Amino acid sequence: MTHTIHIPTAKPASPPSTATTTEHHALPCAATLWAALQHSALIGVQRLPLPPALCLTPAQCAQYASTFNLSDPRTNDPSPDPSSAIAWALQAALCVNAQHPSEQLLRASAVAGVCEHAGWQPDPNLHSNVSIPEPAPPLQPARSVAHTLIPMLRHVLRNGPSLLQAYTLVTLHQHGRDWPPALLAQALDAGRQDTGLRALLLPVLGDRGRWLAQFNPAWRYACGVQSDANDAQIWEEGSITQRVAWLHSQRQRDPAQARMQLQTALAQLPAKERLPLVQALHVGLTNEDEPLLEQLLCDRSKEVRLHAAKLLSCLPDSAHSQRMCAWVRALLQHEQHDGAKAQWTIQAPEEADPAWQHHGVCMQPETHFKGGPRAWWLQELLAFTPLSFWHDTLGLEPEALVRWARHSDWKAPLLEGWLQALQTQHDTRWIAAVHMMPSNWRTEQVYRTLHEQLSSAQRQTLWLQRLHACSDGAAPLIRVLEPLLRNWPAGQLLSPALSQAVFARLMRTLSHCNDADADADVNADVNADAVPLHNATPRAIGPRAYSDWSGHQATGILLHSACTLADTEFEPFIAFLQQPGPEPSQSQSATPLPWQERNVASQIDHIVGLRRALHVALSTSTSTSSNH
Amino acid sequence: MLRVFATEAEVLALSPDAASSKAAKGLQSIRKWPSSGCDDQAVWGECQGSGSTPYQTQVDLSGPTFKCSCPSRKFPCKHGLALLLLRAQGLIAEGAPQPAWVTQWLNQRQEKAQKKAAQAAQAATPVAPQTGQEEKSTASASAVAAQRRVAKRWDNTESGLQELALWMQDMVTHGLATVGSDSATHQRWNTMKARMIDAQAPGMAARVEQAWQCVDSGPQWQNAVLRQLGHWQLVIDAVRRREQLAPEVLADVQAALGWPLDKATVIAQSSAQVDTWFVIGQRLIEREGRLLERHVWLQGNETGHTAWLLDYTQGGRGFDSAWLVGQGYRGALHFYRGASPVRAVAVDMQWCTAQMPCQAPAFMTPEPCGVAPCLHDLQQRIARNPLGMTQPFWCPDTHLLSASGGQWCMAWPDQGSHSAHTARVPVTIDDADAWQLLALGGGIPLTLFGAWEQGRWHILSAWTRTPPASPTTPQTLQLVWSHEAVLP
Repeated sequence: MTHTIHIPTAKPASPPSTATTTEHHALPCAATLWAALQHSALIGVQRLPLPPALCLTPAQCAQYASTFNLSDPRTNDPSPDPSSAIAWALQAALCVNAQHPSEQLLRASAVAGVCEHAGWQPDPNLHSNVSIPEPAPPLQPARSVAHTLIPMLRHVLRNGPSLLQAYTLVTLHQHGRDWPPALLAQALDAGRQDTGLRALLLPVLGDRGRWLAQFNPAWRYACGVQSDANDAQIWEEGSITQRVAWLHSQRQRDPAQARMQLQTALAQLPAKERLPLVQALHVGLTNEDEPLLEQLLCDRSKEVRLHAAKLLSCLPDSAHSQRMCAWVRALLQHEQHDGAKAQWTIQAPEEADPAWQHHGVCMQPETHFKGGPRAWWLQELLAFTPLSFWHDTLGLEPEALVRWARHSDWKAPLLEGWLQALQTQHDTRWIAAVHMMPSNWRTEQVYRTLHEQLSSAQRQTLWLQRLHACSDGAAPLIRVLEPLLRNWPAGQLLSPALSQAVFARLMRTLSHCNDADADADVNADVNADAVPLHNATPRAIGPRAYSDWSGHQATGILLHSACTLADTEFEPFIAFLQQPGPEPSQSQSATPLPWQERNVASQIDHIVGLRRALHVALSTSTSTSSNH
Repeated sequence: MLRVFATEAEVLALSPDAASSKAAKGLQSIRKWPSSGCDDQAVWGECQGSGSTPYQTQVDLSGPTFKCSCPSRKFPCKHGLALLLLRAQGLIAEGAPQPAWVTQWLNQRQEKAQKKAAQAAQAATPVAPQTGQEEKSTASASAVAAQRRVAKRWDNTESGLQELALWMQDMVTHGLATVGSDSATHQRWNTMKARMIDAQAPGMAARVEQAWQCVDSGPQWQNAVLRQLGHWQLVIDAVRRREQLAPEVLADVQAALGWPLDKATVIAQSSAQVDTWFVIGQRLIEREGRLLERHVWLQGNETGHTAWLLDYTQGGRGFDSAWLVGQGYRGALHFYRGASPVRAVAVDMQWCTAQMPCQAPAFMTPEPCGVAPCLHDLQQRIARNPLGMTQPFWCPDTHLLSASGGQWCMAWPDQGSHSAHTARVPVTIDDADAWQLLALGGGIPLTLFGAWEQGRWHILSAWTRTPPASPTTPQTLQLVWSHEAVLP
């Protein structure tokens, strides 16, 4: 029998002196009795009767009672050895007049159960391998947020929208505050699903968040990201994310040293880890990296080979780039027809050159590729050709190149090839050109990548230009604001000048959009932002203008604007959105203004509530905390 | 300004259901309230609903008591909750005079309360001496009738328990190994559960259900079932011997059977214990038939007693009082009669505005405390009332730990020592709660409080202890985390 039920003491500790009274009792120990009862109940009293040791006569029971003087437990203190007291109680229960052994068994189990419950002690063998971790560093009041913010932070984390999440996290980070511990678990869970959120979350997790993350394997991404470990430890023992981050920073400090470190480690690394580490060479890439990249063109992993080729195409002087340029040059013709200006034309390759493969070109079209093999080869060659080749050879700026491509028979592979090249080459001169290309997920992705390379001043100039060039009316404005807000760095407010311009355009469009006279006024001072906008009301809006601002995209722009306008424009904008709409007249249907529909209005309310609350909570104590 | 209902959690504790909470949050915009105001006594506002006239919503903060002109059958309605939520965010301006409709209602309430108090005072005064012979005889006649009803109830219960006794004897005669979790067996258990209801012993019906949950629940489940059967045997034997039991033991047996006891009887039976009661834990349990059970644990600062409030609400109606863990309430408790009184009813509890720390129970005062006195307190409670299902339990200087397989355990402090923890004890806690506790505690030793139920410990709150200024003064506790008793 393997039952090892442990019936501990009913009293916390028995005085040592009473231990001597145990010598003359002949009862089996309590644990054995309980185990016997359990076994009997399991098999059935019918088949496995209670052991004889349990079955005493009433006279024997009385004898035990007198031995231990237990007839009245309430007056008997200190008690004798508890174990024998339990045994006695069990025996006594068995001796109560019973009609059937099963009743005896149940009665004894009742006693044993209560004793077991009352005398509960921890099981020393359970979870004995779980150790107590080192405590986290104490919370720093200067990095904490006010308690009153917690319900709002919980709401935004749970319900979004993601742009408000981003705004919140970035604002906390800018003010040197950490995400509150009470909501860390939810935040770590959310960051697990959403990598965009994760990147913003990591800087505000604080010591407490990194400490907590170590206990849940699902939160490993947040462990030790800002750890105090030294360089060697991170490089030798860190997670792949940490090593990539470390290599990034090492490339910024000392590119050659970083390259050597990677080169030494490469042989031992699995392909899954080689790829992100090789990608990190993009930081501080120079011609000195060429030998390593050339070597990587023969890597075992296809992805690594491909990426090495792409990096080589970022180095126009590399042998790889020269070969690519030569192949592409052979496809170009500069012809003059009937005295007109000479025209460049391009023809896709007639046949594939097996040498291309070594340079990263994929010889077989992908299954979903819409076009023949020739288009595919052209696109692939372009993807690995330095973009400077086009400027130098054709003497055209990126926009002119796109226009040139539009007249070519090979328009689609040309544009696609350049987009692929841009994904690695990050040439921001192409940003306007990308904007001209037909909009699809790839152009948007490349646009975003290039946009991220811009300095904040360049970014502002770009969008101010776009805004000024934009014609009046809701639809053109939406077409400009949509990419602006989508590509604006997550969680950051618009720069003051841009914010003013966006606000002015929004107010003008929202408050006058169906008024022909107003349109005329606006046209008169397109560049004058000093229109008295603060007393603008939505009364002038007619039903047609509603439709421009309803729908997911347009209301999304209003919400996004509410999140990203700078503080000076934020309040008047909200005041405008929140003022009551026009009274429904007979000619108009009773539909509310698009931004006053239930869903949109409640989201605006949340944005307002959170922005104001963050503003109050973070500005009142900035004097005492350090600003980052 | 009174700090009552100053946080979202406090307000939502009053909500009848999750839908109401959500609806109330949806009204949490000041734009939807063309007029609103508040003072120390009440909060009021007009909310634009779907109709032409706005709803007039008002909350008397002393209760809180809600009144709203909306047609909702929920109580409190979303408007009342939204009003309190707005107030909690500081979005309702103070200082405006009460509109007439608010003043009128408050006055009506006050008058009613005074009338009720007068009636109660009248009822409490001893029967006037000139009472006629006639009335005395009707009084004794009703007492006889009541006695007869009680006797009938006991007979009914006893005959039901007799069947239960035979049924479980049958089980152990043939062996628990033959009990399976098949539908035929389940049917038999359900029949027995229904039989217990017929026998006016709903407490036993709940125990039958609890034991059924053990069937086939894991390795050695038969031992768990045997423990339950033994427990039933204890009740059955106690009912047979009811004539010989001391009144407080009999009260425990009645409680185990689930005899109803109205609040007035409890108040009449026991004296009031006036104290500053700190809420140390709270828990909501959903029962069958949209029944919501709330457990509130209180710790008295002066008496040092621990009390357990148990109340129910049905069909989406909210609780008529809200409790906030860590907060002190001044008022009287009346304990239910029993060998180890712990269940109580609260009378006239008022939010403590004065800053006052929660004191640890007296047995935790010696320093270093260790777990021994806490375990001793638990043992005493169980020994005095083995039929009690829920016991309060404190554990000082412990750590919550994540064990393998998604389980949670705590480090059991060695006797009389702060730092040594040799054993690990499994605890019952939601994952979300456990992570929040860990995040807020940051790995420092904490004093945990929870409800001990047959060896399972439901963690309800976590505290840090501040050592006493002198050996005679009690330790004070600072709340770190508490289980939030709101519906999912």
